[in-house]
Amino acid sequence: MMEMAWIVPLFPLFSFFLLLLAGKKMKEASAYVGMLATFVSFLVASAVLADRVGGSTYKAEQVWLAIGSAKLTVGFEVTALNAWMLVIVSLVSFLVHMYAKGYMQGDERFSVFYAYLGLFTFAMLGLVISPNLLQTYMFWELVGLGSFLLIGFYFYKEEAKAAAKKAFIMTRVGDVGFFIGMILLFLQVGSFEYSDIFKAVQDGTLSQPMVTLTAILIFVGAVGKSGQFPLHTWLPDAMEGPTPVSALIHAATMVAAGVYLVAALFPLYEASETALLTVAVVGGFTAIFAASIALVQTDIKRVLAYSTVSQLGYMMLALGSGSDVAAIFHLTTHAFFKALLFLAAGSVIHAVGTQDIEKMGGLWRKMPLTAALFLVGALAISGVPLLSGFFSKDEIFAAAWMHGHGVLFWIAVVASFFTAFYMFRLFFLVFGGEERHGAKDVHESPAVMTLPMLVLAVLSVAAGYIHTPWFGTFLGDWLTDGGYAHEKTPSWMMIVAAIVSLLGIFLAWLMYGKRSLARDWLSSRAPLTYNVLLNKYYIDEFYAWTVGYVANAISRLFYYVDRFVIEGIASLITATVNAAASLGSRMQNGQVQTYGAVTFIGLALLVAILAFTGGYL
Amino acid sequence: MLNVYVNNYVIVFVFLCIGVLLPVGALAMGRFLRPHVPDEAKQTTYESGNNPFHDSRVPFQVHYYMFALLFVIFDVETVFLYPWAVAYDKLGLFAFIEMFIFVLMLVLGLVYAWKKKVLRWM
Amino acid sequence: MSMHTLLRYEWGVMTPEFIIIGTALILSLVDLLMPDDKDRRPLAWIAFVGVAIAFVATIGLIPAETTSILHDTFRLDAFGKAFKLLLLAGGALSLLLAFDYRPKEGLKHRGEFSYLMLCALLGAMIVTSSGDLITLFVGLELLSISSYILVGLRKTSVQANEAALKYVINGGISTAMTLFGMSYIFGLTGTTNIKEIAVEAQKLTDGEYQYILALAFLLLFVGLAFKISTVPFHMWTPDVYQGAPTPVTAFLSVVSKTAGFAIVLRLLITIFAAAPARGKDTSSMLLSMQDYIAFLAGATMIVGNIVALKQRSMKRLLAYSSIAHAGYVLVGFAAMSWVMIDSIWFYLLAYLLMNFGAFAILQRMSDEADSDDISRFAGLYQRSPLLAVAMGVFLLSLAGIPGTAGFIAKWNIFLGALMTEPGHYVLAAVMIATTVISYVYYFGIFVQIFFRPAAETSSLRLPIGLTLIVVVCALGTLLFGVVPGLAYHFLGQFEHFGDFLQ
Repeated sequence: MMEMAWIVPLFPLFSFFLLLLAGKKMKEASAYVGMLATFVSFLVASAVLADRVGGSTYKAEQVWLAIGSAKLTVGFEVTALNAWMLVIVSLVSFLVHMYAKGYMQGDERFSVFYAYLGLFTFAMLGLVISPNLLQTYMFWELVGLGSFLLIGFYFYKEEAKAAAKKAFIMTRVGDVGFFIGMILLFLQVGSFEYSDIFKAVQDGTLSQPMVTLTAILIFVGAVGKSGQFPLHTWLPDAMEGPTPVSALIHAATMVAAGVYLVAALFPLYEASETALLTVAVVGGFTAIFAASIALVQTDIKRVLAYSTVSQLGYMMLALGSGSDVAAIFHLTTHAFFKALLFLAAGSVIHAVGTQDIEKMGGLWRKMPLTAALFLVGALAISGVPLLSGFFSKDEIFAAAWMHGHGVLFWIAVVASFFTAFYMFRLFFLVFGGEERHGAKDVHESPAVMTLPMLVLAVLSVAAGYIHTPWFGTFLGDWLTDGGYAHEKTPSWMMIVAAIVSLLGIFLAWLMYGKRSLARDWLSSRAPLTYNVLLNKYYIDEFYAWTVGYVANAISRLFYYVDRFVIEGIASLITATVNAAASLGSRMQNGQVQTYGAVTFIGLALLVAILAFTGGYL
Repeated sequence: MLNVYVNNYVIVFVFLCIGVLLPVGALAMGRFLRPHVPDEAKQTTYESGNNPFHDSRVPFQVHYYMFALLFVIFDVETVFLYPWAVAYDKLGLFAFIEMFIFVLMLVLGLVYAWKKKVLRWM
Repeated sequence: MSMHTLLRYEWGVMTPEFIIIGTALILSLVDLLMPDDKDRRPLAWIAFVGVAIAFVATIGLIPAETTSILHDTFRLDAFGKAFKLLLLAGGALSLLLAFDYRPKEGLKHRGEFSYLMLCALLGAMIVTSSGDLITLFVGLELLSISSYILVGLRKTSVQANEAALKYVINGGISTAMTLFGMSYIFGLTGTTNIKEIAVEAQKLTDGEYQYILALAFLLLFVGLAFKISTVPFHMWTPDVYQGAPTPVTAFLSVVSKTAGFAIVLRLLITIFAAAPARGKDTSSMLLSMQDYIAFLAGATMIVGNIVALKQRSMKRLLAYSSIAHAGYVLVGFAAMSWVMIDSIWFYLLAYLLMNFGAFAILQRMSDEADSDDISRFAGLYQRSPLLAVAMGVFLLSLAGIPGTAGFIAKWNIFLGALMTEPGHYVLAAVMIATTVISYVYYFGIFVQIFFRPAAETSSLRLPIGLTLIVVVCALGTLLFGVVPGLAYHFLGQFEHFGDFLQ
């Protein structure tokens, strides 16, 4: 089956072309085309994965372009990582396709949406089976293009248009780094093949500074794509796209591409301690930075967006701590629970018609299934024991600790606390308490939307067990061809992680849940317990005034850093370019004598340089 | 080496200087030598003894220009034809064919002008 | 010269030129003899067929050995063949555009449109394979003068008149500079034959002569910068592009520019490559002057891309984009890697495809309302999805997104700039940075097409000629983007244009 892996991306591509040409006539049937295509992709990908589990890496390629001695090739490669990614991407994409049928119902550009989804999925699937950097780069750009089209799907909204452009141009900034790094590698190694690059790293053809330089440059590309600090600003804005798109972008495609790239090039990073440290620091900082911003957001999708940024930070931290297994593991579990959270959020938005969590509440009763599923996702992302997020996050903590990043470890722990807190803040505000929205007819979403969520919920719980210290590290063993040695981590680490996440949930409950739930329930039935809890309430107050206040302050600070410093630098550059453009336009005054003068001055300058440099430069 | 090359330009430079200085000098001399007693009648503009009655920049019949252009073209043709005719024996067949093509092209141009009614006055 | 010598020449190598000149003559006669009330649009088809035949003839000439006839004034070498193919393809596409050109006020001189374009094309072809300064100059002027008239062919349009006048004046300045440079070269070497000039230039060991030769280099380069519209001779471009009829704009931006690059390459490389110099490389004047070219290339990219940000008129925007693209091509020249000509040729090919496609769609959109404002493209996707996707492909290619010919072209140039020893890192960085800037305006159009509601909902019908162009260009753009090996395989038979200097 592995030699057929190249066919996996082609189904969504076919769906893209078909819907582009005939979509208008097919209308609702477009959804089935898209679903069928991704489902077949998923089946083939699973077969490939099954094949790869027992077999070894398969690679096929042929010469694409020969310029002199340099030969560029195209082909595909099925490594363990690639096969794994194929399955995740096609699965999540299929579920999103299914969900979107309900979510996008009635949109007049229904088929266009499915066409774009097909393109996007194709690009991502193509990306993960590329055997060389150049091909990866091409699909990388295609992913960017797909996200541009999808984020700007609601083009009649000014923000959506701006967000689409921002997403494209911001990631392009990162891509410049990637591009230069790639070219440098090519010039040094003479090939874009991953295998050749790794060989060059090993035998020292690539000097140490060069390894560091190229690794960091390529990491810049990943920073852009995976929304790491400071190029993350496009990601929250990208929420302007339809919610299924957000789920896809945040879970399986686009942002995962950055992590995948670093993981795919991992031997390059391993060879340079500086590069690893850079990755780890950027990841760790992003994790806490974004998590703290998420604490104060009031838009349901923005909270989730910052949460994604933060979780991606975790993955980068894992990579930087030398554990690509932990990163891929977290990528997997995160793909499931983040997709679940987004789809559930979409379900809520679909029902309530707003994204402002201040205007929601009490949805537990109206949409029990969505609420339950959201809860599963929230528990998983918070790292509650026995759910998938717990195991994957634990793996990252362990990696950071074992690699000697003490500070980063504690940062990650604090960020984990934040994560649990903001997720449950969200949960209690949206689903708990009294209804705060208007008397709109709110009801549960149709089965076509809940079914994918159900599947994801099961996976969010179960996916953790493919790699646990208790039952066996299957994923790690397989990804590293049996060479995975699970380092014995201190047993307190798991306990700390569990406590931290439960503490966060508890605090959120105290602050957002209890206010309404506890008041009449507890005081009427158990006055004694109530008193105890009332005392707890002092703790609550204490927390609110110390931890809460400090956290809030940090959160605000980071938010303003984000708003004014990062965006400020971006607008400064924009303003400079704009000013130059205005100047240039003004020079273009339509006077032919000006044009002549420019020419003559130009010539005179050149001649003057020639004269003054005593000949020529 | 270069100075030899540049020296050839000295004479050009001298001519340039003379060319500029001569009119400037003459006019300046005239200004100093002539009496300067203006009155109103002296300062009026006149054209061939007549008082001007409108602006001197008037729309011009484009046909003057067309004729001038055609004249120049055929004048140049003659300039080419004469030396060719004189040296016909030496130049031989190749030049004959070339000249034939040249004349043919010009005839084509003439036909064009004719058909486009350039040759007709008004 | 006797009949014998005359017949000994291999006139066959000039077949494409003869076909073009013959078609132009026949067309002008037909145009004159046709009754005034007859539609002259079929003439464009005849011209198109003529160009197509010439194209086939050129392909037939590819196996021919390097030949030079007429005392080495006309030479057919790999360089000439390769560039002529580009020119003929561009000419054919311009004629198709002209066929479907319908300005609001009508076009009175439609016949002239076709055969003047052929004359301009002929000039461009002569330029690519001339071995002598005189024929080169004559070809250049034939190209220029025909273009001047073409630009002003919409006689009643104020903008067109303005554009034509500006074009003539700037063209005059350019010609003066070029001739001035040529006169220096003639003065130093005493011959107009390019190959002999190269031999003589090698003997110029005296430093002060070399200084004058360097001066001539700059004069030539700045003069020729007019044709390729690079800094400092780029200012005319937007005004002229905007005023000229769209087919002429497309012609100027592709055919005229390709011819310009052909002269720059042939003249500068042949004459200056082996001339001794005082600069950083004493064995080659060309390498010594590399920094000047690099500087101008950088300035061109910056100016073109940055000022394009402010444009609302599509034609002006494409004009600035055309300046920017000329800058990218100049990077290829400035780098002077051994794949220089190959990569420039490929770039011009990609540019031909994507630009003609874009202009074809632009022409359809702007003729409708006699406006080329960017908002004309709003909601194109709703009106005609296929056209929108085709335009999307052209824009992506212009922006250099992978999967399109534009990417491969830029890629090759970029690689060439880094491949040399030492690499041109600054130039490559400028290229990347300005490319990123260019995304802003290309994607501005993209946003209009896909993300804006349509002002009018009438569906679009594309006339046959434009359809042909759009289809050919879109397919070509994608084909050479996905399998650039085809073009490189084709170029392979020219063996990196090694017969250039022989």
